[in-house]
Amino acid sequence: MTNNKKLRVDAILTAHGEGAMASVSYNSLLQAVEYAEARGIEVNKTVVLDNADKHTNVIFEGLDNGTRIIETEFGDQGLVRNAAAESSECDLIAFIDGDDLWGENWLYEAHAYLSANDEKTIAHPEFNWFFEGVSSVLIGMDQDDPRFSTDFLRFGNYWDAMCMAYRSAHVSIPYCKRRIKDGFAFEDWHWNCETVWQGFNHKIVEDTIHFKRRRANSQTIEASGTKSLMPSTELTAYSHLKQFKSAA
Amino acid sequence: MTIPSDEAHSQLDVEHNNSASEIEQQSSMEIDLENHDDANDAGSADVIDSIEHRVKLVADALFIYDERAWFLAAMFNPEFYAQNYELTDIESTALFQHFLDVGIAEQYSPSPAFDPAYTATKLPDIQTGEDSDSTEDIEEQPIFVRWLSDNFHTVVPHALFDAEFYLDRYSDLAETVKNPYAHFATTGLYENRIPCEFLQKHINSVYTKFDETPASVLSIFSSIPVNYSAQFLRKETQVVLKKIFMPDLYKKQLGIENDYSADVLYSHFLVQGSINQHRPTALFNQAWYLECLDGYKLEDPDTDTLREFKALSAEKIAQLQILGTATPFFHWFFNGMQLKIIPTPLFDTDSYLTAHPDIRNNWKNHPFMHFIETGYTEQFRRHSVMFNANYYRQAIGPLEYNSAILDFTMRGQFDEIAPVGGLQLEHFPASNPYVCSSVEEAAIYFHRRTNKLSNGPVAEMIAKATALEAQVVRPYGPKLVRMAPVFHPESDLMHDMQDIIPDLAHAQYDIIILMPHCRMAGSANVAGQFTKTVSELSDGESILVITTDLSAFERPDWFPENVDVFDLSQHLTSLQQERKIRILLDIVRGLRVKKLVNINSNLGWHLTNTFGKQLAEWMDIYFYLFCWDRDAKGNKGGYPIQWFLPSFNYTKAVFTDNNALRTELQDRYCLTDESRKKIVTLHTPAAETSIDYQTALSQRISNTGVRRVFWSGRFDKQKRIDVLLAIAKRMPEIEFWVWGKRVLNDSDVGMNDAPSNIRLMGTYQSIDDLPIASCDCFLYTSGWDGLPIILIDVASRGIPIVASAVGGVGDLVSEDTGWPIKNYANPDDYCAAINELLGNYTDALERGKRGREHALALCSDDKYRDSLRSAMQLGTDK
Repeated sequence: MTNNKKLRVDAILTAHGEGAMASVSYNSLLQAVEYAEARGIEVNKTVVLDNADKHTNVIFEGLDNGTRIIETEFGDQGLVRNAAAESSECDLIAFIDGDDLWGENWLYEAHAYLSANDEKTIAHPEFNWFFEGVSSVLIGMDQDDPRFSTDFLRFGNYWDAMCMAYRSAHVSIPYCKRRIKDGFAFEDWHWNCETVWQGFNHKIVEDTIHFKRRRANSQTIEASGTKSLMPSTELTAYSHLKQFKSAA
Repeated sequence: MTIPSDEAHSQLDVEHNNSASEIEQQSSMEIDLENHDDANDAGSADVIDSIEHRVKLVADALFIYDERAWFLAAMFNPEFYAQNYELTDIESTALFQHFLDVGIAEQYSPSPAFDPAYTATKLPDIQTGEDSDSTEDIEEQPIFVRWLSDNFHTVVPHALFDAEFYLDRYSDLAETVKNPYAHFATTGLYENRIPCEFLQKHINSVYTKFDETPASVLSIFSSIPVNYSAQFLRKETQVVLKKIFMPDLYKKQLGIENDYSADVLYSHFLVQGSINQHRPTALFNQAWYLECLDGYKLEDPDTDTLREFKALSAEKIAQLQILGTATPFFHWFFNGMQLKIIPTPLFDTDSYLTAHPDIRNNWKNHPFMHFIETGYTEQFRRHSVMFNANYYRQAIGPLEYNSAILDFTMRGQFDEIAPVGGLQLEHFPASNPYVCSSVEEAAIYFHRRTNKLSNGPVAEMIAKATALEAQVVRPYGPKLVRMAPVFHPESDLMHDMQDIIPDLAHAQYDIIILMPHCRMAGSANVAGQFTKTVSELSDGESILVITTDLSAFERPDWFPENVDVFDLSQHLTSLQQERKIRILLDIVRGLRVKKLVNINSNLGWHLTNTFGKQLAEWMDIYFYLFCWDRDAKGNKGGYPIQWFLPSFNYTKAVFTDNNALRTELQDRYCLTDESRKKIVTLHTPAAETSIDYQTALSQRISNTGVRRVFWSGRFDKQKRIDVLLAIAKRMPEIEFWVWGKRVLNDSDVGMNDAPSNIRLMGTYQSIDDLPIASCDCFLYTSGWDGLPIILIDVASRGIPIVASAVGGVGDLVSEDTGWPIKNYANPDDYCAAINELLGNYTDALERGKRGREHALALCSDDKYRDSLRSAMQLGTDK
């Protein structure tokens, strides 16, 4: 992959109540930043603490390594990401959740990929590796793969939120609010639907991997257990489908 | 039949044929060393690999100058040697020298007919003597040297050669051949002479049953990995091989339909099929095995560096990895298992051990050997994340073969029935499905994709992440693989919907009415009335009626023509409940429905009880309740009891067809005023208002003949036919004309027990087809109910009624309009009422008349429309 643009990346860690696990994620972020910087990529480090508890806050107190610390009170992962992207001055945004890890080469490889593609490209890892509560691996699906089907997005999510995308993508299509009590969650899935609908292209960066911790009380597991649904999008409606009798 | 000699040895055939006799002729001859020296001086690059030259080389290297040198020169098979020891880069003319210099010391075999391991077991124990070398020196000699030097005439160095059998079978050799083994190794092997009883049995079996020729003896010998001739022949080995052999699959590979026995097919496999690379079992995938063999690496390179403490040395491992001339299956059986290579992509040791403590704790061999011998036939065994035998069995029904894997290979894959949820087999077409099935293709694909997790940059990323967080590698055990939409739990749903959606007429509807089915039932009739009224009230809104529970639409005439009817149930028959709910959810969400009405659809109730909260954000939800039911234990149950509350909060309105149920619900749950208003009674409109039987029935005032009572309903427990029969038995002078049939089959009492004054009249389409004027009154004995349509029909026609006062019956039948029976299970009370009715029929007709007036007022079309318009905000009330 040729890197023909000088794009700056904002590596953004979002945390709220992860406690010591956030330090593992932060170390993963620093490792990936070091790897990318050693290869000439300019990376900003950002930590967003959203209603963070004291065990989480303490990890980031007194950091003097250039990490931008933002404190918010959204109580909502999607809104946190929106605010972080909004306030960023970088060209590319890469999110990491406060209990997960990136593969060391993620920032570098995703940056290289996006640098060679337009602003409507969103980069995802080749693998999502789930650990702790479950043992599974999700192989990423490229939107240009002939097996890709938009229909699937009505039933399941192809991609996690820990993507890298142009900042403009996040600003133009913000995440929706998570409303678990009302039965709605999966703001990342919803964002993927919205971006696909609006012509963005979700791509897989080869030889990259994310590590997703699945705790018993994680929000994703909570959402699944409460039979939460993704909020409706244009993709969940049949109006864009062509195969009805009346169409025939 | 002539047996062709092996192509590969055509160049040496002449020499082999000559050499056998030469060996015999030169049994006491010594080699001409002058010629030998000349040949040696000629230089290796120009040396011709002739027998004579080899003999001289033997003399040089081993100091053997007699017939044994000729034997070795003639029996050496350069192609066999080169292939089995990966020496294909050595000039073929230099291979014999290599054997002398290196191969003998390394215990290599010079020919398919020589088995070093077997020979070692047959060599006599070393006897020490004054003239002999020390025991240690002799023991350190290579096996081949020990055999050739001292045991050439006494020890047969291959388990599949039987000298007695050989001479007995080939009488032409009996006179001339002194060393039958030497003849076989140098000549017979290439003349396709059968060397033992075991092979003769299997070869003859193929000759007599099949048109084709078995493979050559040379090929058969070469197919067995070096050093395993004895193990191959062992009874235990043959038992295991036969046990894992799958005759049905084997036959399919041969493309034959003949009814051959498993033994015959097994023989074919041993002497032909294995060499033609047919697989004996669905648990051996040749391509996969060779891929694993090629990519074999030590499980734990760190600790495996100290191989001296391991059962297998590094050298031994390297040797085991060479396929050589062996067929892949036999290579796996004898070598591959020692390397713990699993020859099918459908077995994962972690999965097997994690799921089965009996194997984990008690099985001493490799778990795969348990699986391939017996485990694969045990449906409960979990052996791979790619194959779930229970799932497969549920999907396909009873198995036709003794294991799910074989069943899938033989038939399931052709119906694209996946053996695990979410796997979309259409992405994995099998070019030769009996050799590598579609699920094997899929498993191989995912193994290859996830191979990156153990090799290369991704593996490095995992190692680095694990250094930061050791938990990354946990939990241990099988790792699920997902790749949407190819292999993902939700993919099945997507495919379901891709099949269903084309059956829908439009991409959007404003109102959806869910009903279980449309059979001859009151609720279906109500659904028709409801749909018709909604259609009339709606302002061009599109309406879709969906049947969810059963494919039956017996009364399309009950529904208006301008609504679409969609039979969803036909798509749901074999699906789990949760998937059905998700399908219905996708439909009501995808069609962007504004109003959703459930009229007794069980799936509809499941939908709103699961996702009512979310649905209520997108659409108005309504449901219809008729009456509660009684379960098998006699307790109240059904939708108003068990299903009402979870959905109630999310509904816009709940409709009942009678006041009694409305009041019961309001009171039971102490609803607030606001909530009480959500429960709306919609008395079903009388279907016919103009027909009045009063005049016709008045003729019966003066009737002195037979009195008749008519009864209509399902012959089910709810309708209390036991009460009906008891009444009839108590009133033998009255005829009871009974319409209906069994539907639920839940009544202990049947019409076989009916007294003779009960006359079964069958079923009917319209009440006005019945000879009502020949009857005096209508009897209704239901044990629980709403407001049944039949009562509305009867009351609105002015017919006197005796009815159990249950549920919503009281809305129509009172002391003023008929004879309500409070003690609905007491036949005597009904008899008293009938006697009173018949005793003063003029008064009975008066009550019937008031009943008609009341019914037409209560069940009026206008009232129904007004209530519905208001509750659903239809038409002008929008």
